[in-house]
Formats: sequence, C-alpha cells, structure tokens
Amino acid sequence: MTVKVGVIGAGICGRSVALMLRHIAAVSHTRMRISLFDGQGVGPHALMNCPSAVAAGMLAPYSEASVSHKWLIEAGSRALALWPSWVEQLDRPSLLSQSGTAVVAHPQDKRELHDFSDRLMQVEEGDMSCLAPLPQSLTSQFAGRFNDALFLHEEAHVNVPDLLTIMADRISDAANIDSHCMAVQSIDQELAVVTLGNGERITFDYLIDCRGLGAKSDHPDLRGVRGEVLTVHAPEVNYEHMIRLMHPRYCLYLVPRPDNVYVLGATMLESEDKGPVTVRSALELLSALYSIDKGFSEACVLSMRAECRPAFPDNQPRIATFGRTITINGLYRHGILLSPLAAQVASRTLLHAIDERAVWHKESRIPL
Amino acid sequence: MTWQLADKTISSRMLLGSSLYPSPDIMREAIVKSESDVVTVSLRRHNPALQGGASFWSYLNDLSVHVLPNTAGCMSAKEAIVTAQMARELFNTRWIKLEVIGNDYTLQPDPIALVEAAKELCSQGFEVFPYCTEDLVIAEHLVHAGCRIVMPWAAPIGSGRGPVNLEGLMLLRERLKEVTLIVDAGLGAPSHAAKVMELGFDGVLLNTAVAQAHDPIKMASAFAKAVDAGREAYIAGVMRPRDHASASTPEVGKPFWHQE
Repeated sequence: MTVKVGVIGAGICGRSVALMLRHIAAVSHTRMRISLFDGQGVGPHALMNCPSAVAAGMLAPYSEASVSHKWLIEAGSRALALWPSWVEQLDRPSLLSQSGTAVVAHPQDKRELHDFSDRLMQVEEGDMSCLAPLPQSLTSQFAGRFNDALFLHEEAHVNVPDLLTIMADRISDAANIDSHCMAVQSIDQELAVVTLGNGERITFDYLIDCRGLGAKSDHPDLRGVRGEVLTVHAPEVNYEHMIRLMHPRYCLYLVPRPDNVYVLGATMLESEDKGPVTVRSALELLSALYSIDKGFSEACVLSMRAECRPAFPDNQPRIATFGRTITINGLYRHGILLSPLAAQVASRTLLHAIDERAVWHKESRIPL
Repeated sequence: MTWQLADKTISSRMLLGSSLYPSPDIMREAIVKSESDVVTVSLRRHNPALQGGASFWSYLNDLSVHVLPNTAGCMSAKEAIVTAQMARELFNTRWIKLEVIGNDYTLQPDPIALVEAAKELCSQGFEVFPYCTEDLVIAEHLVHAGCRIVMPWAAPIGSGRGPVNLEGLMLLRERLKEVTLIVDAGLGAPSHAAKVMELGFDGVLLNTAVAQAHDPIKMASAFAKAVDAGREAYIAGVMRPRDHASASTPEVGKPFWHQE
C-alpha cells in the first residue's frame, strides 16, 4: 500500500520535511507519495516571496545564547551536528561553511561581551569547549579594533538561497514527490483533508503542516516577529567567518556568502508588519556594519528585505500531533538551523504512526 | 498598602517595562512575580499605524495591569506627540510615558524638547509621565507644564549603574514634595531600587535589569522585595549617618557624660 502524505507549506521547513520524509521512508521501505503544497510553489520565483529566503543562514546555537535560552543550545547543537550529513544527502556539501563565529564588541561596549560570556558560561554550566582561540586571519583583521573577540569554532553557516534552490531541484527530481503551486485555504487535522484556495478538497492518509504564520488561524498564540536583513557586495572586504557584533541595543551579525557578498541582520521587532525596511533599521544595520570594518564604506547594497518569523509565546518551536496531522511551527529566528532536526523528528514520528496505523486522538507535543 | 498614581489606585511601587525579555512567556511570568500594576509598552518601531505589534501587546491583556505606553525611540517633540496620540487610540488610555531622546547612543533625554512635548500633551489631556534627568530646574519646568508625575533617571538607560547623583535625587524629593516622583532608568541591582525608595521616591520603573538578568523571573521578585523594603524603611525613618561610632547600650561603669 502507498501512503499518501500531504506537506503544507514549502518554506525551509516544508522542503526539509518532504525530502527527509522521502529519505526515511526509502530507508524503511515504506511506499509513500508526498504532495507538497504552497501558494508560491518551490521554483525560483518562489524565493522572492519565501520568508525563509530572507534568512542569513547562521547555524549558530552558541551565539544565540545572547538572546535565547538553554534549550536552544541543546537542540541547536544537535541540529548543527546533523547539517554535514544533511548537505551530503542533498548532494551539495559546498552549501555548508563550517568556519565558526567571531563575537566582538567595540571597546566602549566591552561589557556586552562580558555579559555574553557570562551567559554562555551559565547556559553551558561552565563547559566552554565551544570557544577556541581566534584564527590568525581574524586576529590580523581585527588588530587594534576588537582585541577581546571570542571565537565559537563549531558554528557554521549555509547559503540559504542556494539551499532552497537545491532543495527545489531535489523535490522536482524525486519521483514520489509532487509539488503543487497551489494555496491551501484550510486543513482538517483530524481527517487529513486539505481544502485548496479553489475550494477543491483532497484527502490524505497523513498531513504535515509547515505553514508558519500561514497557520495563524489554527494557532491563536502564534505571532510574527519582524526581522530586517540587508545584503551587500563588498569587494574590498574579505571575511570567511561569521561575525557577531555585541552592542547595548543592537545585535548585528554578518554572514559571508561567496564572491564578497555579505548578509547582515537582523532586527528583532515585536511587530507583524511586513512592510519594507525602515530608514532607522537600515541606519542601525549599516552603521554597525561600517563600524566592523571601514572597508564596507564602498560596498553596494544589493537588497533590503523584511520578513516575519513565526513564534509562540515561549519563543520555542512546537511539534505536535493531532488526528492525522503533525504540525511544525514557531521556529522563530532558528528556522534554518533547526529545520533538519524538526524534519527528522516529524518524519520519524510519522513513520512510526504509519507502522502502528496510529491516529492521535488528543493533541500531544513532541520534544525536539 | 495602596497608593495613588495619577487617577489610579494601585498596590505595587514597581513599574516594569516589557522589552528585551527572552520570550513573551518569561515577560509575563516576570510581571506576575513582580506584582507590578503598571507595565510600559513601546510602540514606535512596531508600525503602530497598522497595529503591527498587536499580537505582542495582546500578551499583556490577561494580566490585569495598567498599560503605560511610551514614546521610546522618538527624537523630537513632534515625533513624540504623534506617537502619544497613536498610543491613546491603540491602548485606550491617556497615560503616556514621554521619552524624547537627545542622544541616540547614550539615550540621554533632550530636556528642551521634552518640556515642549509635555506642555503640548498636557494641554491635550494626557497624563504625562516624563522621563528626564535629575535636573531640578527641568523637573520644575515639567511640573509647570502640567505634569503631576516626574520620572528622573538614576543613570543612563540600560547602564545599570544605580543612582550616580544621590544629592540631585534628594534635592528633587525635597523640593517637589507634592509631585509623584518615580526613578526611571539606570537601576541595575535591587539595592539601587531600595536606596532610592529609602529617599522617599514614590516608585521605580525598571526594564533591562530584570529582562536581561539570567533569570528574569527571580530578578523581578528580588526587585519587588527591595522596593518594598526601601519604602518601608522610608516610612519607618532611616537613621541619619553619624560621624562617630555610637554604642547602642552604655558601657558598664562609664556613664555617657564621661564618654567624650
């Protein structure tokens, strides 16, 4: 028997789920037909409207100690460990750069760096093995500016637009995944029925709901948190490592992409406004960028984009089962980092349910 | 014990900010633990015209607290006035915590624009809670503008340095006896809050010290106790410091008139 699974939403989460599910089903010899639905589809034009495409692609659970809690370091480090095999599985190891993050602060903001170090020490319970000496290349680049930088050697980054494109290719190549460029109006979690924008209803054996903020009507406590990201081309600047600048009010990160392109972000505003980047945010981000390296003064701004990340009140992701549906939501600012782990957890849960012919009669949460 | 803050009778003398917490859940728990009756909310950067922050603000709805919207991020009197007007519509309150920032890096208030905005907002019927320095003359101007409440800083916002000019704060308390004085900004430790409450300030307003603590919920509780302790000490009458040691019981065999 072929199990029919509907995956709703084709951002980073939906794409990861479709591909991970296909892989895990193949390994366990489960015959499966996966239908992936998204109003934008998965093709190149979808990247313009895909919130995931705005992400800088930091796989940086330790850096996030400044704004997050112990759970993220714990789940994030497990997710980080999955990434090398994940990009192998996608047949594109070059998507991943395991070059670490330098955490810096200007001399007048040194206290921020100490606070960060204290917080890291607290959440890591004194184990500071995530820190390593600053690489020689950075020591010389930072000379006279950032003398007290910290270096988180295990962290990595991924080229998000390329990742989403490769995933779209793998989805197109997969014989048992159908990608539908169709908006979903609603889903029935108990019966695994999808109602499309045109009113058509399709019944599946199981659904995995990865709609993010698109599922807000099903999650009254879900909110959007605005993040603004700039991309610049700076031929005069050469950084291969991520840089995180600590500041009393802003927290800027810089993520290198190939050919001297850098992504810098991100504001974190409690707003569901998806309007264009504001002048104030652009000023903050660009001033911080300029303060990292004056070589950025002649950089060209390639894009300025704003998006809203889905978050629950505890800012933690939620994977839940109910009826014939698994929902993944609230990945907040950690969507790229956590995507393979969330996809793996959801896929294993589904395969187990298929084996047991299970239906979840009441909602339960699955830990990441 | 209850006290009067503008037109509201409330219990806690600690007002709490709603920014910078690790999550809205932690913010809510910290507010509950602090027993604060008044919570400040910023709206400037949340696209208030489109109610961009509505989801976040809704997290405060079930807490039964009085919302004190603020004009954080405003750099001119005009900007602050427009933000206050939006806040009045959005939160259905005439309370406004007035911040007009003069220096974007230090977040030091612009006293001249502040007085100008306070005058205009008071004339429009707002209850203005102006954030200012500890300068007595500026505070007097704010009172003349119609403010019943004045909120001097202890130190720059987010610095956590505690009161850097105690004499200035004491002078304010002494001269503005009829004005509600709330120390806003710069408090880092519960002892700082206790210190200013011992001076007779009516309350304190905190954000960073609680929100950025490793455990914001515990810190909210610690501050609440310190604020209560400081207030009680003020009512009980804190002894004046003396130049010399003074034994609380006379030494045997040495009548006090022999102890020169």
